[in-house]
Amino acid sequence: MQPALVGTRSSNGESTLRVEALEVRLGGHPVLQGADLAVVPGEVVALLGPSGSGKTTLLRAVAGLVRPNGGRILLGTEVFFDGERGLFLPPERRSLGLVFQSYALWPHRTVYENVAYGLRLRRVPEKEVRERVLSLLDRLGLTGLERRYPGALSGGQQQRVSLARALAYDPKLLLLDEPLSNLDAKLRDQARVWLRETLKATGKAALFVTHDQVEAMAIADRIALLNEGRIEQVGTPEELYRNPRTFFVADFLGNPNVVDALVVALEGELVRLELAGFPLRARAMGSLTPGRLGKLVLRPEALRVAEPGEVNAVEGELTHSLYLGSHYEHWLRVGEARLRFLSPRPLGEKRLRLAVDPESVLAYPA
Amino acid sequence: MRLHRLSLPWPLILLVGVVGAMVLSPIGILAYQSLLTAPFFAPVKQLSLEAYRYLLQDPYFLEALRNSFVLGLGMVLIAVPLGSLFAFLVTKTDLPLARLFELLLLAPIFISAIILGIGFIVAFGPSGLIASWVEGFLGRVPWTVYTLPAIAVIAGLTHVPYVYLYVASTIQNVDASLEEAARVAGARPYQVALFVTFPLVRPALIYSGILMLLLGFELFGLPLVLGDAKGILVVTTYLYRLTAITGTTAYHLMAALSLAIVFIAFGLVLLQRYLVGRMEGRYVAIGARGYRTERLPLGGLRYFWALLLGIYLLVAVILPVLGVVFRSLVVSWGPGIDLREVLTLSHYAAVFQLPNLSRAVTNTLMVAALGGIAALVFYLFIAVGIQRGRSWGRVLDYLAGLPRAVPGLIMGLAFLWIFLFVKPLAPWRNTLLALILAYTVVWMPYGVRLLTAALLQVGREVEEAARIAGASAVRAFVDGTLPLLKGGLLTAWFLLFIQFVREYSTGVYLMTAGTEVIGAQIVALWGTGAVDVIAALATLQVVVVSLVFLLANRLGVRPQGL
Repeated sequence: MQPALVGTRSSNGESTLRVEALEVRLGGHPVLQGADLAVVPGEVVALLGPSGSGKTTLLRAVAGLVRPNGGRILLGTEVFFDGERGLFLPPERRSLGLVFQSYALWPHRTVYENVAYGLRLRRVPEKEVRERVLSLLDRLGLTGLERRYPGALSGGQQQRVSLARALAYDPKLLLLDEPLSNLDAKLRDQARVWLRETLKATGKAALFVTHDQVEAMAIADRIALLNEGRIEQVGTPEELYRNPRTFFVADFLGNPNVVDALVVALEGELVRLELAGFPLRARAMGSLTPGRLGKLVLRPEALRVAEPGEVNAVEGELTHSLYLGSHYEHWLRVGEARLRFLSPRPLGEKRLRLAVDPESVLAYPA
Repeated sequence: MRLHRLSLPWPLILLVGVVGAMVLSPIGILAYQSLLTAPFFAPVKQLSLEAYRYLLQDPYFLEALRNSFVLGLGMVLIAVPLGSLFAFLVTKTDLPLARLFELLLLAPIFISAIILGIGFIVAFGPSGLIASWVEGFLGRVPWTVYTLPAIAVIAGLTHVPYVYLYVASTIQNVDASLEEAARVAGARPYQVALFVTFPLVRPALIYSGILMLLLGFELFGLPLVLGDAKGILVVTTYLYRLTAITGTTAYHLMAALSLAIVFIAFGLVLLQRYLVGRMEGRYVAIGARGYRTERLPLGGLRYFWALLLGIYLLVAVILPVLGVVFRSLVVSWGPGIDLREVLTLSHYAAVFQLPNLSRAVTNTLMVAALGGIAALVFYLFIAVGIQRGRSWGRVLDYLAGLPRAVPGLIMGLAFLWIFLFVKPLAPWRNTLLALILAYTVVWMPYGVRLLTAALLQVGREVEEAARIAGASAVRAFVDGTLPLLKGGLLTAWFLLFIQFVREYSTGVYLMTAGTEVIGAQIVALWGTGAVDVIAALATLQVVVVSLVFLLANRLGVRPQGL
């Protein structure tokens, strides 16, 4: 185990987390198959993906709670795991902060003892422990709760205590596993903003797992979208939403309409297709072949009721309209396809034309 | 439309009455007898406290009491730390051979303490197998098995599995993320154990600590074989020897002493309930997440711990049991004897030729198989009553737990007196029914707990669905719950079978010509010094229990601690 410590700890700027070609098999079943990721200091990165995509496993591998089968994990020059050289640094020597989904607060210890434990393990003098714990609790709005037991705290308070515990010993990297999933819906909206601000205020790099795309977009600087053990795309929320590199990314974000359409011709960046007899131009997102089918991704918010004479439009019959409070949601049948779109006001006609900008329609090979 | 009037639940009240009579009458007759000056069947007798006065002034009794306490304390100090350590190692770490250790650690629970005690004598006693081997090296044997501290150590070692079993099942329920959180914060595996795991299972540690004290007071087989010869008495052996000590059959003294033991045990049971009940809440957070957790790495020390566990098993289980088996196959043993000349099967021939010994073997199997089934059916009624009976159920629960405080030896004595006292029952005394009845009461707390747990797992929805569909209450139970209960019933039957086979103290006073069982027969033979035959009987018992245990293990039966 000793050679793993050859890396030196550098205090500023150098401690980028790098995950390279990481492979994890659990019970013979491949969970991660060559994941690559980098998190630079001060950056908040979300691991987003459907259940079973390996996001929690990736986080637990970085924490050292799962032993990978191949690849490398480094923080700065410190080697956490190196499959080729057979190096594995146990979690207690990685000095990371981890917020568990269940918070995992020790129920037999007070709030103070929970937060102080990491410092005491590091043999910090008791006076300094006290100062740091109390100032941290104060910063997280937990003043006065230090003698309580976790069982006597609300969900939101428990979550903040678990964040305080992870931050106490000044880790270079903070890991969070579904940090907001145990809060009820209303609290979660506020907690999103609070968590983003708190993470940015600490100036620490943070990696967090979520299955909630809104949460990922709201909190993260960058999102890594996982699919079946691989990282599908990494980028800012805007990049992922506007320029999804693969069909999976486009389909996963924003619950869009997905319809098949016939590729007619390629026009540089754009592609001409035919949807139920209507000509439609879209952005070509891969090698499309004229005469074959392509997958069209139409975001509901990009569709609008067409003005007379507007091109790049489809016509169909309105099948359902739902009142959702802030807006209406409608379903339009165009040939075989059904398109979902929104409007601020109810619609009168039964037959409608919907227009869309070519730049906001994405066409992928089927 | 006819509405059902709510009526008194007669079957339930009948059940409470039967259980109450079975549980309370032994204690009642002990109390009654302890207040008399002569046997309860004597024509001339008086009410008095003389028995108690005698006991409190008898130096032998006070010494036995002190010895029992020392024994219990030794068991707490040895079994609780070792048992919890082994539980942590086997369930939480990457200890090599953990599966094998898990299986072997349970063995002592299923082997009579008296057999293990004899095994210790054969293996480690003066001129024992191991002792002579060591003597060949060192020129002397640097230990003894016949002193009070030695008995306490042996009792402690043989009771490690009880603590192990209870603590391990609790540790398995600890939410793994609590331990992971400590590791991420920088705790090494031993720090995780000390900061998170053990504090979280503190109720289990306290429970098993008091269980050790309780079993220490009830211990009979070990002090009988190890301490009796040197005059080291504990409360149970004092009771057993009381007739010899006082020179007469002192019924009132036996009763007073038994009642004193029951009171001490009852106090410990209450203490256990109080302490564990007080701690509920802040302890043992049960994990909900299903993801796989890595076992804590012990590093290079894993072989050290495995070696320690291996040495423990060798000393406490393997050598004593092999010693007994070996002793049953030789004519005699000592330094300089050629093994080829002494090997024999004659002890087994003796067992099957002497009618009382061969009867002991067949009776044991009969009692375990048929008695086990009878007890199981009875326990099932009690468990259902506890689950469904509301306030009557709570009464049942308390009654069924009461025998916990009555050691088998005393329960056997009390039942003997009941058969003498209640004339209509007298014909039963010389049949196996007497034995089965006493066993059923002694093992009631254990068996009822097995079945309430099994019932709880099935849940009541199945039955409620059947009721809604139009089935009567009985029909709904038979069609809905019973089929789902099969696994739990099978487990309970296996465990009861094993406990009934290994039971030795309950039969001591109930043994008559015709109702011998292996365990009680060994106790009776011990006084005659017939070690050859005892070893053969003990080996037969170990073989039966091992076969049943392995079969049960194959079928996925998990053992349950006391």
